[in-house]
Amino acid sequence: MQFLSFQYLCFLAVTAIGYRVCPLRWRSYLLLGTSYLFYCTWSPRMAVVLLLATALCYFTALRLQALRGRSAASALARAGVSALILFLAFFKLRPLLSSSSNLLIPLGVSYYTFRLISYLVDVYWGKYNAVQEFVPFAAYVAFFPQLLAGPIQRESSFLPQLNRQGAESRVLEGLLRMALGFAKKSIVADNLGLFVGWSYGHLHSGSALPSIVALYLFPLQLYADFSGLTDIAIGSGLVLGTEAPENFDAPFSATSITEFWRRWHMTLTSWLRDYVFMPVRTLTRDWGKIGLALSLTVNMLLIALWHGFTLGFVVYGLFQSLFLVAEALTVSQRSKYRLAHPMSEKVANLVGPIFVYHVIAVGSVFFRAPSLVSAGQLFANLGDGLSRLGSDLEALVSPPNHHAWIALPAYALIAAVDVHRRRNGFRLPDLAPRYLRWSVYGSVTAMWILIALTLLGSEKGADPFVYAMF
Amino acid sequence: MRCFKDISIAAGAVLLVLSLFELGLRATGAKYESSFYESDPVLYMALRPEAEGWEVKEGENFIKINSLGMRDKEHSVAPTPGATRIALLGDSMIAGEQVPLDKTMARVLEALLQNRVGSATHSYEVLNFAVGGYTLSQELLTLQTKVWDFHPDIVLLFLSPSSVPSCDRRVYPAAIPFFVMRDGRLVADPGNHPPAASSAEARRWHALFGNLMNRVRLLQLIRKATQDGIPQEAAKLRGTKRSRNENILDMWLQPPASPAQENAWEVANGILGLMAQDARSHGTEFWLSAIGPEIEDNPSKLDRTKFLRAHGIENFDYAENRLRAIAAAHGIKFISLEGPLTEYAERNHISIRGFFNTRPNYGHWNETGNAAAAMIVADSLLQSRTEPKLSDPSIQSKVGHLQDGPEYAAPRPNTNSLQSVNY
Repeated sequence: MQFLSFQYLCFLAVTAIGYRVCPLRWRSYLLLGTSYLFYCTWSPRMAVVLLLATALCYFTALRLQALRGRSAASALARAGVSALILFLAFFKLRPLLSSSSNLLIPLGVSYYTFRLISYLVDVYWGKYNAVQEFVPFAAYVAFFPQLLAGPIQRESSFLPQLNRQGAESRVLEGLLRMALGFAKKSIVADNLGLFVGWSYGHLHSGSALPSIVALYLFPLQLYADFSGLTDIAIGSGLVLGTEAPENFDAPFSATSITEFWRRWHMTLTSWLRDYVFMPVRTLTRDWGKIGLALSLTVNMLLIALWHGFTLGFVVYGLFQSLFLVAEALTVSQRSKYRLAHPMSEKVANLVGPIFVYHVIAVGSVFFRAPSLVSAGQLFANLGDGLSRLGSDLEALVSPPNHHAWIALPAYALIAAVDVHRRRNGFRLPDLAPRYLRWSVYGSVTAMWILIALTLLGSEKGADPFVYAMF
Repeated sequence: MRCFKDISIAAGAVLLVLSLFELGLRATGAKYESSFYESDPVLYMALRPEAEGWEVKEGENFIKINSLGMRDKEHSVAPTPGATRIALLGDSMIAGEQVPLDKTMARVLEALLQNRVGSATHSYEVLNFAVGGYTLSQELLTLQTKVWDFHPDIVLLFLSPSSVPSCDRRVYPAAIPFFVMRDGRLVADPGNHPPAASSAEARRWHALFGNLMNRVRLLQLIRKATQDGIPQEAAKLRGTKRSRNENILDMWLQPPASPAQENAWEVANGILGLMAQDARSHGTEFWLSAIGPEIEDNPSKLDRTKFLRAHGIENFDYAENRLRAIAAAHGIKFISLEGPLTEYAERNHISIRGFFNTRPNYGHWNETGNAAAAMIVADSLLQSRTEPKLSDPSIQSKVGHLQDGPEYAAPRPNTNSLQSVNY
């Protein structure tokens, strides 16, 4: 079942109604049942794999808590985490080791494995106690809105929400958030994807235009696609009455690469900070700046390799870490310079986002290009010039791309709505006058009926989410 | 009073959302099938005069139906003095809703003939009576009820794979007029039920709503979602797929496998005989041609061979040979279309069907296919008049915009078409 489908809307609506009428103590059972039903529409076999991994972690955590303070706990924690890493690596490496093209990789395997690892580590570190009841824990691991591509929510922030009353007030916010996600995906990401796809198909045309288009538009496509997916996940959660952490915070307004990675895929980067960077940094703290550089590089390489075990992703990770290390090693010098030259701060705020966008755009070539040769071809073509600009542009906007230009103004509009959402939220004031409440409820209902009709009337459906494959 | 005011404001807000959605659909280029048809007491369905809207299933094309209910330019009913009038009958392949009007087979054919015989005193006029979805019985009824008013000199009927199966209700269950053979004579099937909404009043309302719908994307979306989307979702839930009428392809490729299929051929024979007789009585030449399934003119010989092997047959010729025999028996001239079209597609490595939003060589003729078909038909017409062929070098200068080198009949592949079909 795809997020962008009529079936999903019906599924979510039925689940939300069930969730509302369900007594508090049964809610986790309902969520567990619906989440596994959601998973089974994709693969019942992989749902069993998910259940086994969940059960293993549940019992391991209980045992860890019982052994807390004893040396056996450390061994058990290491064994549990290693098993999960091997489990994830097995499914990630499987396509490389097998020639079969019909390999089944568990949907959202990265996301639920990350949740399980952090849970085990937190219980081992004594940050939280092990969950005593299996059903709420399993419902947390398999929670269907977050199963596909996160956000990676910690169990400590999720489980208490299952027993909370008054979640109804977030339905409107959830519906609006989901609508924003639908718009990002179907209007911006899919249309930009047409341009980017065309560009990668015309890298041998002897013109710089395809390279320029691919270079500059892919980061926007990726952001609209992934943040759209996150909006739908968070919105679905809100409709059900659960709140999830944010995953993006206007990443392209960042003035440095370090800041960009604090704003991009925030739940993954914070997860890696807590469970990879910090432990590695602790191990290498005596190595000075080399230790810091190593920690950052390892962290960034893991983020890159999580996407896939390819040379392209290795280069992607190393390229990003180069800038992260450079920024980390020059923090004090830059601070001193800024103090001495107050104007430089303003210039940095102005030029920073442009610089960051270019670095991200160059790095993203290794993310998107099918091979390093293609990536090289793209950069080489930048020197080909724009002598055939008119005919190239004509080809770029010929069918099926002839309406794709709408993605750019739509992106600006949606970005403005997103800024408003971050500042003010989508919540209706509690004391809003009746005409306003009725207008908002009527409009949102009409909007969702129209979205459902659009999904029903769509011939080909939406393109798959880029991040759903990780 | 206050409640009324609140409701009015809320209704205004909903209306605003609907308007914004309409704008959004237009801005994002979302287009849905338009309504071009109306009920007809004789033909069961006909093109609605002056209807206009988009065809988007294959390609993306704005269509305007003329004031006479034809997918064609405007024509006068009375013949033009000194003009040879050619009436085309057929289904969606000939209606050519997927391509701009001037790229349809009818328009290209007229331009080709005009170029050939272009003179101040004698011209060619091609009238396109083809309607998407029409079957052989509807083509007979069109001939009888519409075509003769225009006094054509030549009537050209194009059959497609569904033409023969649609002659028997059991083989082709659809709400269309059927004929049956009674004592060797063709008579209307007593089981026919003309559509209920074919009164003038009902058609007026239908036209009003249809024209409104063709202008409002939201209404088109609602129609699309309810007519296609909901049945598809229901089929998914039931775990079934939309059924395809396997009879259509089977009957094109192989001899009839059932009494119903054999009856369909007999009725088709009867209809063609009646049309030929009708044409003779009007002093009009009657020509027949056949358009095969998409695999038949696939440019890849390998794909065609694979298909034939999978179906256990040697060639695609069964239906065409049988139709040719029927034509000969009734004194109908026959134009062999598929062979030259396949040859053209293979020689030029080009799909003559398929659009940017379909797979290559899928469905209807694209611009290249329409042009190639027009060239072949024009050649056949001219050949029968012992006039030089279009492939004759002396004529090629006159039809230069469609020629493809010194060899016969290859319309120059249009760049746009090439891009679209290769997409």
